[in-house]
Amino acid sequence: MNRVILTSLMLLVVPQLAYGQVASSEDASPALETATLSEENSESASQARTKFAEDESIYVVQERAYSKKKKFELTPLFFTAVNPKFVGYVGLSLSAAYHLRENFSLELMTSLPYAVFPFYSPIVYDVFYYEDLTPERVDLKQMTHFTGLSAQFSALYGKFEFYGVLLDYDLYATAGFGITLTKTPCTAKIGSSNASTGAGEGECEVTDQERRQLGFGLKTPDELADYLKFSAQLGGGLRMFFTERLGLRFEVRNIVYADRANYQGAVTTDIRNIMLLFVGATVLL
Amino acid sequence: MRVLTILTFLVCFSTSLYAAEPPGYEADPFDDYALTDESLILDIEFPTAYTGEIGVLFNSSMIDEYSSHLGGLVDFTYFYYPTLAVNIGFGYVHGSLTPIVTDQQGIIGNKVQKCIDDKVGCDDASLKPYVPHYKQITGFANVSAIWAPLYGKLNLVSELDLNLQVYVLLGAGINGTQEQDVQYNDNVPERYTLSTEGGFFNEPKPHFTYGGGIKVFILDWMALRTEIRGIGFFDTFDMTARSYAESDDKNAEAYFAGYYFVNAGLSFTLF
Repeated sequence: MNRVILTSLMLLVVPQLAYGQVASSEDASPALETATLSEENSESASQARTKFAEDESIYVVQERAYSKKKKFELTPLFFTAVNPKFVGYVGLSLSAAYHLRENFSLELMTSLPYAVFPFYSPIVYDVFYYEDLTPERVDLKQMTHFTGLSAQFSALYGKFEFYGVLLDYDLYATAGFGITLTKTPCTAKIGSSNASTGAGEGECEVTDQERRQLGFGLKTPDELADYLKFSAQLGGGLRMFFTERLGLRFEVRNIVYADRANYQGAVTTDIRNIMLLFVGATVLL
Repeated sequence: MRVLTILTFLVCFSTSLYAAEPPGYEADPFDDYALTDESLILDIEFPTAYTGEIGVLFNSSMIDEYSSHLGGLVDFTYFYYPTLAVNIGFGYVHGSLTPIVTDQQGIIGNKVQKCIDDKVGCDDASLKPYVPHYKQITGFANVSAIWAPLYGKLNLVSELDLNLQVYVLLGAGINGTQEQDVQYNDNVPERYTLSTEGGFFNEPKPHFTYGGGIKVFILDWMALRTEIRGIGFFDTFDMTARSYAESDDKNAEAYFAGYYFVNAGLSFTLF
């Protein structure tokens, strides 16, 4: 009996504080509505109150429609670079996450083999054609693969109303580390039909298209440390489910690594910030 | 950029179709469905219909090629429907060249070094970078249609909800442009100085504007706004020439010059 009285008091008082300006005089508050429920509804309301009291939490954006706790989430994603200064990217990746708690998960994300398509941005072609210049060699290196293990923290959740349809979503931040694989520019081999350089400078086969465009090709760097880079990954995103299992995910992730190019002893270095925008369909298993 | 545009369209289109059917949730994972008869989200705390607001926003360019911009934007928005509005904006941005152009190993740095090494051909015109998309935006004015289909609440902490609205915009307007000229100057360490001519609406260009943003309501009369907005216009450039001396207006081809800005600031409800 004491519990019911205490719960009723909480329902009357707490919403006024928690809901603030939501509860106006003309909009009956949830507590007031509950208080006027009919006899047959009062039993279920009482149960709700009991749970409410046990939980001791008041969720302003209540009636969350899906739960991620103790579930695997599998997400195929399309990605594109947001800031393609010299090199742009489009491609496909796959993310697998396990939600240890409702707001915390561990995630493994990897680009799919042969599904990363780097390309040089217009600025590279413009300065090459009109000014006979090329960016530093390290700036022309391309990322061909990335894999990362991240911790995902999802403290914020909410709902959108789309013409009367309610959409649940949650926002998350992600941080982790991983590896990236790179390719470096190379000039045509001596004796190749596309040789564009003098003796001693050729490094790789260059296709006709590459020869016509920028005059160089791409190859795997000779040194492992220039090929495989340890990277930090930071990002944030939004996931929105349309059923308990199916939804959409949007994410921006920055892949940061120290890059280095060695061309005939001339070393150039740079801190690469590759910001990728991901969009994908997500499944809770 | 084209890929991104197509993707955005597909995502928006497909999610719109999907969202036309209510989501099919069946479970009550948090045991809180019985707390209220009606979801709190349906209580639109900050209705926008028939409201007028003025926005004051800081403006900075992003994804810069040869120029970066910083400036400000003032706009007025009138919602004639809860999710539809018309927006009129005025802005001014100050353009400056990026390190790709100004560094010692950048475009101008290389040209200046060549001048120093060759001691010939050092006229100011030859020092000016000859690349498309070199123009900077100055002032701009545009009118846009705003579609704000998503009104949302965010559970910031368990007892505080933030009301927000997500919108996209599409419009047209006019903007001024300018180019930075380069003068060889032995009296400064970098051996060149920059100058610009033109003001608010110098060499005006009609443009398209497009983008999207989010508005977070703080008070009845004030909201935080952040948006990404593109300004794009058709410009011409002689792609066959290799310098200003060789270029000929007759050979100039049209190309699309896109500039992207992130705007952040406050908006104040007037009525």
